[in-house]
Amino acid sequence: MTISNFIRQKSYEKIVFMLRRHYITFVPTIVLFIFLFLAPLAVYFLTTNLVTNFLSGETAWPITVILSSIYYLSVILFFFSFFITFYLDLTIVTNDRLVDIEQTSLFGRTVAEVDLSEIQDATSEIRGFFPSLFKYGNLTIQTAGAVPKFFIKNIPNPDFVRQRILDLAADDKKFHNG
Amino acid sequence: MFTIPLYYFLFLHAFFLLVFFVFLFINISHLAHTGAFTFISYSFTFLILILSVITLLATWQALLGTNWNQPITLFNTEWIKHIFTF
Repeated sequence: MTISNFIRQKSYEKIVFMLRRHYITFVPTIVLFIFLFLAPLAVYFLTTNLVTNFLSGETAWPITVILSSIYYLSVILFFFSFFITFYLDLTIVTNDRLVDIEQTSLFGRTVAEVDLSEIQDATSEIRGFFPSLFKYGNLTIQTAGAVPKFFIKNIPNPDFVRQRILDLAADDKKFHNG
Repeated sequence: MFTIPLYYFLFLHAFFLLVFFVFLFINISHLAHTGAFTFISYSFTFLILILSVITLLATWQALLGTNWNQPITLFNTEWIKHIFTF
């Protein structure tokens, strides 16, 4: 399946841009993953140096290996699941509408869309040291549609995106008004 | 005395692997369903698969030569026999 099938792209519609969260916002998860990966190894090397006869029992070693394997596979799985929820948060802007897909958890997804002609106002916000450094922030779009407010968080260049969406909305309004 | 053979832990591991692969499949199917097969998602999935294979191979390597029939004592009355003797 392609993204066009997923949003049921109309024949006259073309995707202007797709917005995902800025990659820098995934760095804390990577740091946590590295810590969770290295922590048991550090504990193991410390313990083998401090405690004599550590894991010397005939059954202690295989049990430790099996439990460690379960631990590491769990960490890998959680890391992948975090990536999926991060990566599938997506906002698609076409020349006709805005589709906001929010992956709240592994089993939770919200898809909302608004016609560009219904967009009333858009506000971009860059706040904080890292957002200013890496130019990412939040975008709030107010609409006259069923979903009164769209909140798109941590996207790159929110100021540019806000301006572009407002331009597209103005074009779409012209088109609808003839 | 209550003992179990060591291979019971292999059953535990096998059950966990089943859960692991089910969730791995769900994650990949999410990517496929939302049309999110991009270079980044491919690379990340590849990295996850490589890490999983390395973990499983290391586990297999570390467990070579284990006698799985040896018993593990979970509870022995001898352990508490002398607790209440004053």
